[in-house]
Amino acid sequence: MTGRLKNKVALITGGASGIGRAAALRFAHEGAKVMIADRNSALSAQTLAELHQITPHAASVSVDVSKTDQVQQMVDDTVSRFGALNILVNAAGVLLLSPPLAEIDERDWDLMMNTNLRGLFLCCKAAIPVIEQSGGGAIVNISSMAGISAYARSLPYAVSKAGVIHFTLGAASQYTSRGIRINCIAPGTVDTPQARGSSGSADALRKIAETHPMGRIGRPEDIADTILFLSSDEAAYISGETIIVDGGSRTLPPNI
Amino acid sequence: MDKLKEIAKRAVEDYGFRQIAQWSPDDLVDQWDLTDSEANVLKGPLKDEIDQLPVPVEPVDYEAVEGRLNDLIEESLS
Amino acid sequence: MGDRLAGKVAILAGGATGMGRSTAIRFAEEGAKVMIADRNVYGAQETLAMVKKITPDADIVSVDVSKWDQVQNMVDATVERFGRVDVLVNLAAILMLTPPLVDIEERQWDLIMDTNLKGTFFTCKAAIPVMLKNGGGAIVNISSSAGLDAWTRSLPYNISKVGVIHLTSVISGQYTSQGIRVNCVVPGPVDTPQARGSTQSSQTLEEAALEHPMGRIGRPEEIANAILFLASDEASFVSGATYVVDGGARTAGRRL
Repeated sequence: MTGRLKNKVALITGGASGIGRAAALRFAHEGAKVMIADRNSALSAQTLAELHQITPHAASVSVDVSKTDQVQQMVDDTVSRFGALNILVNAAGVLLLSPPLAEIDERDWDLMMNTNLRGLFLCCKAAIPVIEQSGGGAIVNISSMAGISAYARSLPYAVSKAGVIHFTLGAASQYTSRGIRINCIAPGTVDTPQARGSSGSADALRKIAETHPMGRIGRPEDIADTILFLSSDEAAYISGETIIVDGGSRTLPPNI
Repeated sequence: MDKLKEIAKRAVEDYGFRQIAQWSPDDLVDQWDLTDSEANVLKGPLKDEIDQLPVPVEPVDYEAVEGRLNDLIEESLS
Repeated sequence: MGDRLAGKVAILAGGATGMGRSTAIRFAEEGAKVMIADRNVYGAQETLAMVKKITPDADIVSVDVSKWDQVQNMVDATVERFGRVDVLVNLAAILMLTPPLVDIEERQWDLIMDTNLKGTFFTCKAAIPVMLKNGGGAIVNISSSAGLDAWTRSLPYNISKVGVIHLTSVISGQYTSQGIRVNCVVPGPVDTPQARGSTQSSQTLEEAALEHPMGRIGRPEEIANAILFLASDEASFVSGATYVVDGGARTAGRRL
């Protein structure tokens, strides 16, 4: 407990599990008031119980970030509960494994684009006016290494995550001068329910760990540390950037 | 003498170059093939003056500062 | 004041002024033992006096990073004084303005390359074996936004700084698996003696501030915070990364 986000109000989408949950807990430890927003209400309740062991200033709201009215409700709830909004972490995202391009189901494309990219747009659109009214703040978007390197297992996911990176750049170009820093994190493989579910087996994750330079895949807490850094005043001169947190796996030369 | 004046001019107008003159003068002695007496001026009286220069020297002051350093160089080498 | 680098031994090459000085102070505040390495001995002594107000565990060593024997001596002196090396920060660099390519002198090219690129190679080469002896460490290299975007006022500087970014990637690929994280900070315009000296007039910096999305250029402390993060265990899963700290200047959009 060191108070690096003392009295800041943070809204974390996808906050019920994985990276979002780790960020919520880290933020609470650093003195933030935390609203977790997720469509998985059961998991939200679990994470909220954990948060309440750290701080009384935590709440949850149910949201599907691809739905305009629900997103507006999420922001309204946050403001009525905590009186302001300083930090938005966009951690909500879905990964559906997809066959090669010609066989991709149009519905799968829409599902990923709607949550990962349209949802990001809606959340920022609703939150930015309130962050401005609160005197400025920070937005942290979660992309993926799939948005930087080629990712054969899901083209729509990869493209949506590349979009998150460029969205960050464009939004920063418009709002940095108005007191809102907007940054992005591209995590490598991280041990989340999403990754476990999408890799198909625990064994697949173990194999990635074996060839990883650090001998392990990332922990949600590893990403939460960088989210905290970018959200805090220590990153006061950082905006528009995408920070890779992959344990150096990108620096391994390809096996040519 | 002319080489030393050129070095002084660059040290006034270019802070990156100035730091080489201050802290790695031997590199300049080699690169510019300075005589022993020129090297001694660079590392002695000229360095003392360069150490005192403001960062940066404003362009309007170049002529005055460089003139002063040139006088020093001529005096030291005579 | 915290303990994010408690007990760690850090070498700050180029620690006498500007970002190096701010980093030395910031590291000391977080519990590090600090070796300030610079060829500017007067500046190093001034910085040492400031650091000594925070901790007795600080010292200076004179080094021209482009000279191998001096770099070896820098590492030896640090081990002799503090027993180990955990963190190496490569801040030593020079910026000399040069004319367009055809008129660049070979000796200008050599001076810039020798300090900025060969110097970083040398300090890593000397420090890594010592870090490996105590199980690993962290290296933070300082590049420049001139290493990402074209900047016409010094081609050798641009090239040396893009070299630092790629040097970081490759060294990370080689040593992350052995416990050494290697990262790079890319500052935008920052108010340092180097920046003031190289813009040739204070007015130039004031004009740069007016066009900046934040209405100001960066402070050395803001770069020091990014260096601190990457040097600390909070960045335990970050290696091979390039952190741009430019206040969003790169996102301001080009005037087409």
